[in-house]
Amino acid sequence: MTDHHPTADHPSGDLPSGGRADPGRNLGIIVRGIIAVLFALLFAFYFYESVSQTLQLSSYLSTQNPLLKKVGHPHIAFPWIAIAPFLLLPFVTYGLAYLIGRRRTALVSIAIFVMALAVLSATSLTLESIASQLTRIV
Amino acid sequence: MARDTPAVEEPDDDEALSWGTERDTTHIEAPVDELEPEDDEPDGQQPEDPAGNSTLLVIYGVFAGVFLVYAVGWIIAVQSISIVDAGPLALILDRFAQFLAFLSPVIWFFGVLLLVPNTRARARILWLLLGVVTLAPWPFILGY
Repeated sequence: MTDHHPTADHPSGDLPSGGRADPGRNLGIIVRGIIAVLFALLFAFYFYESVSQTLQLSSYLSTQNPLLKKVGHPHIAFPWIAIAPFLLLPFVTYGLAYLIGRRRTALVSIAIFVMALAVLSATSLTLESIASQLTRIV
Repeated sequence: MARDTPAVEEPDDDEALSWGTERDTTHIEAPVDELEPEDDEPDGQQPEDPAGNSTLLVIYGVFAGVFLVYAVGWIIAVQSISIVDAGPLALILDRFAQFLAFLSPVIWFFGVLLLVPNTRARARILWLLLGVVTLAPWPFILGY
């Protein structure tokens, strides 16, 4: 027989039964992991979109700027002020949603991820339109 | 000297089957002692203030109206955004993103109400204010 002494993790002295993991807890971790991965894929799509938009804008400016120079039009700068947050936003929103929903139930965690996706959609469209406005040839 | 100790009454099983008397406090016609109001609320919470509650309801109503207007703004803004044809999957996901964009104010409003407890009204208002700033339909407002 072994005595169970209270520890910091188990103040009552009750240790998990023989070191075996609780199946309910394991299932919760698996479900939360699946939710995190599925939403990570959706957020990854937003990142892919932002990268492709950035590349398109870069190639557009590299072809337009020499032509503009010829006609004496001022050079159009790359709109980093809108593009930088556009590229970072998927990581920031996913990270925040993960951190906020980490210790909550699976359903609440999904709700938080959906909220983060909605915010990401709205702010991405805002930044995209600001970037296109900044590079518009007047 | 022997002290007079009150004899411990044995519970009478038959008493459980009786209706009780007028002295029984659980009796519906028995005189009821007025309850003194409890000064200390559990967990240090303030007692509910009806005036405060109605003010909060008005504030939430204003937020709901603002977010509803935002949703309409997003619907108009999204219609003017063209999607570059880049395959069926990208098209579906782009449409999904636009759908989420115009639903974002509504999702945010209900999300905050559901996730932030009722007792933390100040936190709720701060989160709703954050939504008012970040979820405004800027492409529509700025005319882009």
